[in-house]
Amino acid sequence: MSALAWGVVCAVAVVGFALVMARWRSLETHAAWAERASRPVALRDAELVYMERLFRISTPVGLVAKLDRAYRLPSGLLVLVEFKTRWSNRPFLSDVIQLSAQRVAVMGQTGQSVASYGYVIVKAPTPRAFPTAHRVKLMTDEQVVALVRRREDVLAGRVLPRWSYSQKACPICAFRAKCDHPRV
Amino acid sequence: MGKRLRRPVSGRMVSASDLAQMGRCERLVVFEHLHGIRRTAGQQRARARGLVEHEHFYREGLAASAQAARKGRCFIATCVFGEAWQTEVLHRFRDEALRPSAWGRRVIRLYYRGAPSICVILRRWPPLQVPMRMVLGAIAIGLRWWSGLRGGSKCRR
Repeated sequence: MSALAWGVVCAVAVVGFALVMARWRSLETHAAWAERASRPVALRDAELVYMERLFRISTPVGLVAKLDRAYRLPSGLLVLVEFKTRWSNRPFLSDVIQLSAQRVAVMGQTGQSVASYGYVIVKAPTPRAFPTAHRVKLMTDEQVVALVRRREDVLAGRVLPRWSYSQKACPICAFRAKCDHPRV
Repeated sequence: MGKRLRRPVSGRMVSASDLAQMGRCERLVVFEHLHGIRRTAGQQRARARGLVEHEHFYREGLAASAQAARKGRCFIATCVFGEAWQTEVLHRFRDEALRPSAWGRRVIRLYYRGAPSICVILRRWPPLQVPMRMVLGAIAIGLRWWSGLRGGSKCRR
């Protein structure tokens, strides 16, 4: 192969590499922009400190929680964020319980202050849907501990379990045939 | 179909997502404890979609963290001092004294344009790091005592 051909091949390789790098940087920038856009306004100046991080405590109750995201405000306070994909654009009680349990686990393991509120980011399960952040008030430590104890009591048969709070949950439940709920 | 068998409940870890089930339906918690997790076809599809969206959400967070980390870098100081107090003081000077003003941001931009090449030179000829360390060290000591930085006294170790 002549020197000219080598030169052309090298030039094409360099240009190709540059284009791949530029595309990669553009995708990364787009993803970072999407993260900024999905943030609640109150977290605009906050720093993203934890992602998909596991926290666990063994006292007063054994609890393990995986955070979706946690942001640190300039004041040092941590704010927890939970991501949900569903058609119904509103936070549920189960989201509040999950965030509250995460809060107890983070405070117990790290000793850091965590805000008494959190955000549930809800996104419809379509590619072009834009996520919406809902601010929710979290349960206190005592309420979370009481709920863990209640769960133990329910599973041990010491307390009768309640039926679903939502009427929509029963028709799509996989245990519909076993349930004795009047709605079912 | 079932994924879990009946297990003792007291004295073991409960996950935040398992606890969250208590807010949906306590009967379902009991059924899943006795018979294992069961999902309808629709629930399985929704779960698969959710996992994909979750992965996107995680990647967006990673990209944002990477960008923030790049913005937070102080090239030459990190190159000659590593993660030392001098780097922290210069970092704070950049964020608190330079970044708020337009001319300061211009200085930062200029610095970021030239700093990576200077770092390459410093890494290739390590003896050059000695005078650079002395100059930046003197500036850092001066800044440490300058009241312009918020909580300046906190810096004086």
